[in-house]
Amino acid sequence: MAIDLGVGFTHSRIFGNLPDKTSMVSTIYYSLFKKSADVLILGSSTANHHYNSKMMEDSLRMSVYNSGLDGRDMIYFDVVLQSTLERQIPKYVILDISSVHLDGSWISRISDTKLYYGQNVPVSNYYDKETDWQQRLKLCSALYRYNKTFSYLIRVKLDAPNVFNGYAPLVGNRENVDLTYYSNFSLDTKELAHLENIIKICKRNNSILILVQSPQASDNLEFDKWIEEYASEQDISLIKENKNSYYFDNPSLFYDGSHLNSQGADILTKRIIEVIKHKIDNNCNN
Amino acid sequence: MVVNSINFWLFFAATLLPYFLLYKAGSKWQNLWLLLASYFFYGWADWRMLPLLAVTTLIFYGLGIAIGRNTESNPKKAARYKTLGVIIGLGVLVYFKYLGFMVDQFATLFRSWGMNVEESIFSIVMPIGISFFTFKLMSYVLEVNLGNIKPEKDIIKFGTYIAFFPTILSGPIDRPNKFLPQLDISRKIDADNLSEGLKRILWGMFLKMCIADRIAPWTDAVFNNYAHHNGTTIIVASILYLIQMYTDFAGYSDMAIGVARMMGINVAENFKRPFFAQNIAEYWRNWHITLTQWVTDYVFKPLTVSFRDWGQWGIYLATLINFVLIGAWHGANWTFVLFGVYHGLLLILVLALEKKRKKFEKKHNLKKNEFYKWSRRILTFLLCAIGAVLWRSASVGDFFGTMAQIGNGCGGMFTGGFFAILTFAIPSIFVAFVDEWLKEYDKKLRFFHNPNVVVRIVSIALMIAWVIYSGELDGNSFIYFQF
Repeated sequence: MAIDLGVGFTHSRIFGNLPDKTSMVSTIYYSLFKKSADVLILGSSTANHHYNSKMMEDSLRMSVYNSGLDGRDMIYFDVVLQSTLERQIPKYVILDISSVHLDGSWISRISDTKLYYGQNVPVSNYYDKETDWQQRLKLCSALYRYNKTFSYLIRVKLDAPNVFNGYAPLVGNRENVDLTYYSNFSLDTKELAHLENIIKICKRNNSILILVQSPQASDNLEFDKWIEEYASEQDISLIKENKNSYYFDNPSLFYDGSHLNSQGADILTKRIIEVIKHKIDNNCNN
Repeated sequence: MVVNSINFWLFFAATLLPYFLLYKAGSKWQNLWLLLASYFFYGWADWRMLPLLAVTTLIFYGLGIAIGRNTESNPKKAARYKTLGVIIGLGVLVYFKYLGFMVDQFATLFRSWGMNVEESIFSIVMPIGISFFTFKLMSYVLEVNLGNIKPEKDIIKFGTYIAFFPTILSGPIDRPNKFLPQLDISRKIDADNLSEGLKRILWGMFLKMCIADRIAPWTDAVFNNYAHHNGTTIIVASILYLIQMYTDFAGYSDMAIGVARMMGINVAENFKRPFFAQNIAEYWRNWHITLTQWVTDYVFKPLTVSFRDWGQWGIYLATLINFVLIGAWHGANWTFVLFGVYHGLLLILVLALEKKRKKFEKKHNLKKNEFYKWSRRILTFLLCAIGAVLWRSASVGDFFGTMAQIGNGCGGMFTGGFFAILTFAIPSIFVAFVDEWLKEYDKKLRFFHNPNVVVRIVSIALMIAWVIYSGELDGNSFIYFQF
């Protein structure tokens, strides 16, 4: 018990004062507790590497924060959006979406937020309402909440400072990108409920939600069809950059099959800036 | 229901309380309760296999009695019942574990001869723990026939021995002559058993959760994509995989032994510091001891008698057959057979060179030379690490592909996910190594068993904290559950 309390006390101090680095735990901390912006970018690694927040800030003259983090799903995006609302209501929310965010395959990765259980309201709500009693029982222990976090601390020390408001450009390029198509998508109801919650929050706060499908070498046709119909039903903008042949005709814009490099990211970012500017113009005209 | 899960502990608590309350009612009632709990536990894993367990238990119970009745009056008839038991045991094992594989192999062979054989649709669900309980069943009829034990007349007691929940999924493979007599006595609540059992479980959790499960994601990432990794990565992964195998299985065995001990039942030891072995023979005497002893007693010894006319070559042949069986016991794949052949050949080499080695040691006075001892230990470990890659590979082609990568340059190591190993697994491996080293050299330094109560409590508390803080807590399955 004494060890548990001791670990809880010291770790809450350490993980409540992390430097702004590119490491996973720093990104989680800054997304949940510190950052707020007019344009909030949500998503996994594709968001993290595809949206040049500095370029967006300069062009739109609005604050931009890229909360993208490798291997995250819709539950995490929802938690980040809810946490941001406590500080500022974003004018635009860009959600970089693909099938893996909704099929439940990355659902376990939300456990990386458990160290902030009891400190962050959306995180606590998620665990209290959506996990079983065994998980809640385990969360009573600080040792459990901070399980394996020591290695995160070393990463924080080693990783580079975050200088691009969350954006992590990738350097390197491919000589060719082989496009593959597949049709296998099963929607996870829990993930869908969190997407619906994001939409609800945006509508309630008059934030404009823009869904973006990033260019990727493997394209899930079943998901493409589903998200198109869903966005239309919900009256949300959907930018299908995964169907933009420009990227695939220029494989040097890719870092690997799933990610654009910094040049590719700049092209995608310009496209998003155009869309947002168009929406701003429309709003002004109305 | 894995031992390191909350569900198991709820089940165990619900089993343990009535179990001790039944102490005064007698061992028969305790055994009945244990049998019911064991069937519930096995059914939780896969209820469809409960009839198989019950029916095979009944058959072998009957065979035991039939052998016992005829041992003196008609030994030939008794031997026939024993043979029937072995055939049934092997038949069940072959049907559920190897038939699908054999059908596929024949289909491939026929296709290679140009015959039109349709793709196999033969699929059998393998009952969990089948390799363990069939070996217990066969061991029972063999021991009764040898006259080492009397046939068990109490079906509840016999059923409890076969289905005993701490060991049914992954062993140790207890022998009836050691286990059954323990069920004759009422087991009362005993502070010493409870504390020793808990300490053993804690140590098992430490091995499993802080070492094996921490290493697993990295070794999986390497071996599942071996073609993308260089020699340095493959060598480190091979060494770590052997440690992972050991800590996974020894961790489970420790937990099983601890759980049984809490109930006042002593289960056979399965490991005895195998990485301190100085040759392959010693390694196998200390690795998965209950399986090695089983095969040695019921296969190797009879074979050496049969092959005695062939002298040393007969022993070599028996050794090779023995190890092919140990390899094949693990699963229906040529990699396991090759694993057995590999270890068998290594052991034959040890046997063949034994006289020369002893002569060499005597000449250079090396018997107590620590450098010499550690060189042999390291060599044995590295040879076993190669065997572990064979064991881990999905196919023989994958094994040779992985080995070929060793020659493919020794650049920088793959570090994705290696942080968890560096920060948690390496310190834990060091602690486990120190513990084994202390035991090997019979040092007096003790933590869990220190005479000073403060040292004892603090070391246990620190270990619990370390397991929760650094262990993989999502209840990963055990490698040996697949057998």
